[in-house]
Formats: sequence, structure tokens, C-alpha cells
Amino acid sequence: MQFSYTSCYLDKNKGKLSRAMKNLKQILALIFFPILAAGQGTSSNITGILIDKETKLPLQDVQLFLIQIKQLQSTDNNGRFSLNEIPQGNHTIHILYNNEVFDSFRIAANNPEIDLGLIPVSINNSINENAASEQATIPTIALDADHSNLEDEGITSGQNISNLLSSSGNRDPFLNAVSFVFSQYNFRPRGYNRANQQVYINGILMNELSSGNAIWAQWGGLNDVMRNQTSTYGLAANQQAFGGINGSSNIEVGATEQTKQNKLSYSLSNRSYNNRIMLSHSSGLNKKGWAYTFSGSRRWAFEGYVPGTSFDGYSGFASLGKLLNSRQQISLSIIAAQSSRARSGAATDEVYALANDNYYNANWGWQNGEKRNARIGKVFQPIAILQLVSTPSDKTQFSNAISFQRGRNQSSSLDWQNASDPRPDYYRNLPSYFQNTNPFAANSIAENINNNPDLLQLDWDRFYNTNKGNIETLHNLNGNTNDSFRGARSLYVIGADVEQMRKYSIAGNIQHKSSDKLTLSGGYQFILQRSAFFKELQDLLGGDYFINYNMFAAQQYPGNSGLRQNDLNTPDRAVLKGEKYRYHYTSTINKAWVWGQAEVNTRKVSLYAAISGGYTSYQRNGLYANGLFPENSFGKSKPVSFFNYNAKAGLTYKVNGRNYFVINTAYFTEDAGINNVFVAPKTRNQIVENPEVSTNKSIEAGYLLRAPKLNIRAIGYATDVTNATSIQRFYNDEPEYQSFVNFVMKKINTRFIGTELATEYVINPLISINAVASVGQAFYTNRPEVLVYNDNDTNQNPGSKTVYIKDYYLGVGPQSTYTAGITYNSKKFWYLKLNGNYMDRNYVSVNPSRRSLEAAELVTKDDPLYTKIFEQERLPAAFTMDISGGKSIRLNKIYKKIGYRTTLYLNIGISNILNKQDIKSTGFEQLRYDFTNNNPDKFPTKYIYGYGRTFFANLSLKF
Amino acid sequence: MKSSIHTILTVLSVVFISCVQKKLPEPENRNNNDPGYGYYKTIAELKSSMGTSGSKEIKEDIVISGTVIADDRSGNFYKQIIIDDGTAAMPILLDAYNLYNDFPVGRKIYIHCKGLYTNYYYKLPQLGYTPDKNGTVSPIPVLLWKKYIVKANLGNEIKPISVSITDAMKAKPELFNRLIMLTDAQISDTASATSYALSASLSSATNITLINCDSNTIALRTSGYCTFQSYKPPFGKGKLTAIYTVYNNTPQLVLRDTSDVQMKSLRCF
Repeated sequence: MQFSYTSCYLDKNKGKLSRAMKNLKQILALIFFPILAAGQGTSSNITGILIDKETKLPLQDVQLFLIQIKQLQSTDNNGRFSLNEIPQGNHTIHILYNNEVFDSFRIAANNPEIDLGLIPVSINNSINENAASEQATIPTIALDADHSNLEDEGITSGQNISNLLSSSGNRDPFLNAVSFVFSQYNFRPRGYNRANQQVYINGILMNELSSGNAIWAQWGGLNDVMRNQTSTYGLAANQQAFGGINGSSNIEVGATEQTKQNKLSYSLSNRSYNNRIMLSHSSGLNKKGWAYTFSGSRRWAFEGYVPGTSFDGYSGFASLGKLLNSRQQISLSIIAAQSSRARSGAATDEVYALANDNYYNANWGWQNGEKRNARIGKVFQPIAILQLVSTPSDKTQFSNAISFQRGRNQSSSLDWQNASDPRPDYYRNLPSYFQNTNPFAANSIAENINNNPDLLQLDWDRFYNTNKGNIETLHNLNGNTNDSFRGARSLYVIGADVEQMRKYSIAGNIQHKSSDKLTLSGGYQFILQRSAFFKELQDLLGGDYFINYNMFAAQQYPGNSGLRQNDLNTPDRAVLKGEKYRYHYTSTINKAWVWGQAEVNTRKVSLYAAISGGYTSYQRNGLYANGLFPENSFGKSKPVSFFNYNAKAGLTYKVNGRNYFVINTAYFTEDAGINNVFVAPKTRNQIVENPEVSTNKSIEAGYLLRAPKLNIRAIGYATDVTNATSIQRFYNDEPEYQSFVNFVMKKINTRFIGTELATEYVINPLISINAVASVGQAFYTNRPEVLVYNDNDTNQNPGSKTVYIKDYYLGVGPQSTYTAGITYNSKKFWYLKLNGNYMDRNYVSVNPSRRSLEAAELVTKDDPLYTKIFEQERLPAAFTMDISGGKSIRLNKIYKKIGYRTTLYLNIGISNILNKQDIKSTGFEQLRYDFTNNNPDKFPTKYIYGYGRTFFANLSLKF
Repeated sequence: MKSSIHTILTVLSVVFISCVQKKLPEPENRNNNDPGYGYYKTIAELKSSMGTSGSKEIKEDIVISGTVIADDRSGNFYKQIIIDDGTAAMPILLDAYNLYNDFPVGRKIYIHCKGLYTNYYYKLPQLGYTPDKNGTVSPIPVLLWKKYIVKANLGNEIKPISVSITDAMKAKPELFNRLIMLTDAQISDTASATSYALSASLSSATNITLINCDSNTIALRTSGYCTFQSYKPPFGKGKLTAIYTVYNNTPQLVLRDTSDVQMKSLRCF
């Protein structure tokens, strides 16, 4: 393939350039020469070879442009380039050809000599970029209880080269492969908790401070503008952030960082949404140094893959950026993604069999001929970020940002009072409940369900009619003894658990190259998050009012009108639509930390060490005075604060330019998070006795090969987490509780060990193959201390218990995963990829309270029941295959009138082409257990099945 | 170019207007509807086909109908409602709590009886589902309700049958399960009857004695689990409305709620 050379700033006679390109030319001409002239000999020299993404052929005469330092270089006849005197820090490199920006990638200039190896870029009719962006996701997507959906929460890992561990010339092949293939089967890298991966946007930590998780729905549907993403995996050095024990993702969204383009795309899928339309425009820099970006999308489905799951999401993004001068740029970005998702759920084997459908969803029922889902999750938490990036010298870069975020994250569900559990899979109504006492009834129920499958769905008709018929007189209206109201008291309502948050952040990052060998970086972050938590009544389902009182306490203390109050200040209040009830409190979380990192690079060895220290404080402020805990539910709690410090260090030995050995190690301390510090934040200020700080010790070591045709990455890791705290909240059937409890497990120790192997081999320019394996073990290593706090009892002293969970595996998805694929890249601008995947050792999450003496009190050790109670179920292994392909068409080859850059892309991916619908992706034992009869089948394990064959087709137009 | 922008805008506006999670209209209120099935047997006829003891499967395709005269709102009845069609009354055993949600007093229902069982519970007739392994007629499982029971309208009123304690104390089968009203009742053991029933932890149910001015007595039996268990019964004389039941040959009254107790007159002694 031949490219004609055109210098973008020398050839002033080149024909019809766009106006924006002219602007860029002028800027380049203005600033490029001085920098070249002032070039200094103290920075990184970066070399590499640009190859065409499809053809894998070297690209000659293509320009690389570093916008931050305004350096421009061209590749030679072999595609080779050499960027000299690059100040240390992270840089975006834009790829220009024929004066147009086609692609970009990010580098971390952290060594004196950096050989990036082969870098596939799109310079022409690139098709893979789109494919990658639709498919590749960071594998820490916050999956919720229902099925994940990659394309919707996914963010591209983009074209980033961040550091050695993942710098195999392009994206990390390990992350790339496992994330896409196995995320939908609940795979978690290394088995870690999702909070262990931090997500930053423009330097601001996005992880929500209550749970620690990043909520990807906050910026879902904005894939076009989230492409500038740098991820570190594991314990690698990172100049932008200290990172979690599993690394971090850093997304740059400022308009000055966005590649100039217009893009309109439409996607069709049968996963969580059916349709997505997305429109984006990035202006690129104009001659005054301004740049702006807009993006908007809508994603929707009347019904996703699982019955009764609709999806509706609107997303908007705007960013305005300006180069203030050659050393400073500023950007203001606003991210606003609203989504509303009707959820699916997990069910027991019995229910799946009765429904004759592995995608049975108990959350919906018919209402006037349409499916209505009771569980709707809605997220709308827009973010505004102002970021200033300064490069005072070629050696130093500062970045400072402030952000404000506010909004609601809510999840609705059916709620009821003085009524039996109306959920259609309620265990007391199912055949299994009758099997022992009345087998005839069990069979009749099963047969009746078979004839009337809607019996296993919600009965909205009944809820409305029952509510409307339940006429009661409400006395003492608004505390006035003479006022009463006669009306329909709702027995069933829709209520939502709402978090309404406000989050203020200030963050800074400095990257400084103090000498050839030494690079220093560091940063700080202050976050104040104030959230209100409450239950909100969203639908009275035909009734006139609902009453705010605690029906469990009412049962526990019959006749006592004080103890049953959710709020003593407004006892037995009638609740109307839109009003709060059950619980209401605010939490204030302050978090601040500083960190620093030093990296030493010599020809043979790279070393780094980093430390971070910070402070976190939690305070609860109760807005309801709970009848059970009148003394410590209303008003502010004591603030609880923790000092946490982290350290990590690593060593890379460079045998030569292709072979590397690496070892990294880390020591982290971490508090348990606000929900594990307060015993029951919904009701009271009580704090877990002596809250603990957990310790994470981690080490990873391995070998990397980066040869032109072969990449290998083999890493072993071992992580010990000790002294962790976790609170489970559930109905405890133990005779001494018989109530909802807060089951506090303290001093939990867990271990994560395993190996990760990724290889990629380019057979020839057309065909490449890859193989990836991840085999790990994540398990408990001790018997935690357990304190059981009753939730509907005035007695606040906990009971204690021992749970024998040592050596049980954590339920963190398949712990053995293998995938291998072959990719064919045609010279005619299409590609096809086929991969086969195998996963195994996916363990069901155990119920700790079932691993106790009380759980098998009447069972002898030689009884098969004993084994059944204590053994851990392993879900069946599974094999799946995926196929994907794409094609791009340069439209001006067909219609000459159309602009040169206008390109149409078509990508189609089909997952699980064998349509296996019997793959259990997740299983968890119910926390409720039948202590009376020691019967593990009374509240059996619940499962979620992975999707069968699904597709995602995307048509996009870049112009 | 302009027209393509128009096209895009048109498509976008359609895309952005279409509504996914729209508010659905409320389901039809059927609380005033009586589907008006003809029914094929009166409860009295059903009772007469029960035989004299034990349980019996109903093999004929018969439908009965009746209005709920007692439910479990106060907790004094447990897993049963009682219906009355004017000829007789019958408890229907149903396997759930809070039956009054679906079957409050005043609701008319139809029951397809084929496959259900009649039974005598210590000589008191009842209608339920198949006997369990112990031979006890079981309550109808929730997921079978729709197979056997059709709900009709609310707000039907069944007037209690006025009876004197003198008559009621004789265990009259025609009154079994029916709503009766005593006109001259008073609590006999006023010293000990400080509440309708002992708490459930002491006794599942408690009898207190009603007496009339002729010193005839009948038992009033109240569950320890009901909401008015701890309430103090009035010590005056007057009307008391309750369900008339029998335990073997001993008649017992069961209250629906304390609003059925209107004993405000002066006692006779």
C-alpha cells in the first residue's frame, strides 16, 4: 500500500483542506518550530513502528503529533518513528495522514528509552477501531444482580499504551480477551472485589464512596467521547493515580483531547437494549485554540433478552476546551447519562423448571395486556468537571480539576404491609413446599402452573383490586384526634430505595521528570460526598394511602404503638405518592489523600516505589427517630474516621528490548466502607464494635515477551486480604433470632492466587491468533468472628457465632477461564474473528450462617445431609464460541461528492453462537436457612443463566 | 446536505419521543362486578351431601357461592374464611395469611368444588383441599385459588341471625358457622376475664363464658394471636355478634372483631 507524502505545514498549495485543518496547520506552524529549536536532551526517546490495523503493514509517511508539546514527526519507509525529547508524563499522540487526524493513542513517557514495538493504527478505512470500541470493556464493569451488558456500560479500553505490564504494543491482550468474553459470565479479574479498580475521569475519582464501586451507568451511552482511556492492571506504576489493588482506569474527556470528527451510529442488538442511536461531534482545535465536543445518545428496548426487561437511556455530553497558551489548557466537561432499566432476577432450579425457561424473570406481570416490571433501576447523576492542565516546562506537567456531581440512584421494588409475600416465586406457594406433606398438592400446583404460566408472574390486577377494596378509616390524621379519613389503604405499593447524592471533588496530579533516570509523580484528592438515603413511595397501586410503620416490630411487640414506629416524630403517618417512608438518613463521607511515586529507569532496570496516605471519615445523620432505637437513631452519629496508608513498589529487568521480567508488590490498608461500619445505617447510629481496617498484601511477578510477531505475557499473583469486615442483612431463621438481622463478619481473611497467560501470534499480515488463560483461586483462609444484631428488637447487644468458612471459595465467577481466537484481516477492509472459550470452577457463593454448628445441629457426620449442608456447589463448566466481523466502506469512492473522510462502518458480533442457554453464570446460596429442620432445600440456591446467542450490530458513519 | 440534516433530525426526534416505560392504565376495578354465574348447589345442599363424619372428596362438577361473613383481619380466624349463602355457612380453608386482602367480609365468591374436600373438624363442617399425609384436609394452596375460586363483588351484607343463649347453647347444626347475634349477653366471670384471651405464649386460645339473665351460658373462644387478645372485654350487657361454631358437641362463639361487641347496658347481675 502506497501513501503519498504531504507535509501538513509545508505544502501550502495542497488543495481543499477543511477550514479546521487550516487552523490546525497554523497552530502547528506557530508552535512547532520553537519547540524543535528548543529541544532538550533530557527527556524520553520513544520509538516504535506504526502498522496498519487491518493489513499489519508498516505505514510510511504518516505523522505523529503530540498536542501537548506540539511535536510532529513522520514515519520512515519502514513505518518506524522516533519521538525525541518527550517530557515525561502521559501524552496523547494523534495520527495524521493527508492532513487529517485519523487516530490517536496515549503513551506514558516514563523511561529514557521506550520502544513501543508495533502499534496498529487506523489510517484509512479502519474498521477495527469500531469493533474494539463496541466490544472491549474494562472487566470491572459494575454488574448488578441481573445480567450485565457490555455494550451499554462498556467503555473502550481504546488505543492506550500505559505502562509495561500492558504495553504489548497495543491494548493488554489479557484484559482485552477475558473482559469481553467472560464478563457476561460474572468473571472478575483475579477474583477481586470490584471496588479494587478505581475509575478516574479527568483526574477525578468516580467510584461512589458508599460502596466503593464505580457506577458505569453514570456515563453509559457516551462511548464516543470516552475513548481516551488509560488503564493499568494490577500493581503497575501509574503516574496519574495511585490506583486500587487491581489498578485504575483514567479517562480523559476534555474537548482538547478529542479527535476531530463527526460520528453518527446506530446499533441493533438483542441484549439489554435493542436500539442505540448515537451522534457525536468534536470540533478539533480552532485557530484561537478552542475546541468543543458534543455527544448524545439514546438506548432503548421495549424488551431486552430477558422477558420483562425494558431499557431506556438518554445520555448527553458537552465539553468546551481551550489552549490558553502553549503551556496551559483548560476544559469544562459535563457528563449526563440518565438510564432506566427494568431488572431481571435470580431464581431457584425449581422455579426455572416450572417456568420451563432459564430466563424466567419474577419481576414482571401483565397489566392491561402489557408487561410491567416492579424492579426498575434508575440512575441520573450528572457530573461537571473543570480541568486545568499546565506544562510549565518540558519536564513537568500539572493537572488540577474540580468537579461537582449530584443526582439520584434509585431502585424500586414491590413493597407490602399486612399482606402475604406477593412475589410469584415465594417459597411457601411452590410445589417443593408441599412435596413432603402433600405430594398430591405439589403435583397439582406444578400442573396448574404448567397450564397457566402467568401464575409465576406478578398479578398487578390483584394488587390494584385488593388495594381499592381495602377501605379503612385512618384516625388521628396529622396528629389531630378529631380528624379521620376513610379510604383505600394500600396493601401493596411500589417503593424505591433512593440515594440522592452530592459530591464535590478537588484533585491534582503532577508528573515531573527530574533527570534522565528519575521521574517523580504525585497527586492529591479531596472528596466530600453527602447523600440522603430514603425509601420513596412511587405508586400506591390504586389505593389512597400507605402507613409508615414497621410491620416486623408490630408483630414482635403487638399492641405497642411506639416500638413499631419508623419515625416517632410522625407516628403512623399516611404516606402518599412521592413521599418518604421507612427510613431516612443522610451520610457524610470525607475522603482525602496524597500520594507520591518515584520511578528510576536505567538501561537494564526500571524501579518504582509509591506511597499514599489518606483519611476517611463517615458520619450518619438520622432524620427519623426509630421506635426501636429512640436513643440513637435521630440526629448525628459520632464521626468515625480512619487513616489508611498504602505502599507499592516494583522492579522490571530488561533482558533486552524484547524480554522483560517484572515483579511488583503492594501493601494496602483499607477501611470497610460506611455500610460495614454502621451496623444498620437505615435505622440507627450504632457502630460496629471496634471497626477494623483491613490489610491487603499483594505480589505479582512474571515475564513479558514483545517480539514483532509474538507477544507473551505470563504473570503470577498472590494477594492476601486480612481483617476485612462484611455485613450481610437477611431474615435469620435461627430460633434465637427469627428476625431480620445484621450479620457482621469481622476479621475475614481471604486469599487470591493465580496465573494469567496471554499470547498473541501474528502468523502473517492477514491472520493472527491469540490464546489467553486465567487460572486462579480465591478463597477464605480463616473463620471470621461473627456478631449478629437483631434488626427488630430493642436489644442492641449482638449474639455471637462461629462460621466455618475457611477454605471455601469466594463466589467470584469462573476461576478458570480460557479463550483462544483467530482473526482474519482482509486487505479489502473487512475482518472476521472467531474464538472459543472455556470456563470452569465457578463456585456458588456460600451462606456463612449455614457453615455453623447450629446449621447441622441434629445431623450426624455420616448422614449424607451433613455433606449436603456443608459442601460448596461448583457450577458446571461451559464452552462457548463467538464470532465477529466488520467491514468499512469509504463512501467517496462510490460517490465522489462525499467528503474524503466519510466512512461507513459495519460491525457485527455474535456471542455464544452455539446458543447454549444452560450455562449458569452466577449462583448464590440464599442467606435464609432452615435452622429448625436443618434443611438446605427449603431456601435453595439461586442462579442466573448467561445469555444464549446474542448479537450486536453497529452501523456508523464518520464524517 | 441540508436535507440529510433534516432527515437526521426527523429520525432523532422520533427516536427521542418514543416512550419505553410508559405509565400503563390502571387495571379495571372489578370490586363491584359479579360475573353472575349460575350456581348449582346451595351450601345447605353441599352440607347435606357431606355424610355424617370424616372427609369426602367432591367428585361432582358443582359450584357454590356465598358472601364472606368472617375473615382473618383481626387474626381470630386463621387460614380460613367463612361464606354464607343464606341457606347455610361454610368455612373455606385457604393456605395463606392475610386472607382478608383477597376475601374481606362482604365479598361474594364462587367456588368450583370438584376436587375439593368436605370435612368435619371436631364435628364442625369445613371445605378444604386434599388430605395431607396425616389425613388432615389441607387448606387450598395459593397457586390453586384461581382454579377453584372466582372473586365477585364487595360490599354484600349478611345480617346476623338473632339467637338467644338459651337456644345457642344446644349445639344447633343449622347454625354451625353462621353469623349470629346474641341480644342479652354478658361476661360471667368478670373477675378473671381481664382480657379476651391469654397471650399466645401462655395459651393458643382462651375461653371466656357468656351468660344471660337466665344463667344460661355459652363459651366465647378467642385466639391468643389475635390483635384484640389483650383488650379488656366490656362488662356490660348487650349484643354480641359472632360466628357460631362447635367443638365436638360444645358450642363456641368466635368473634370477628371487638366492634361486634356492643354490651353497654346494665348487667342483670
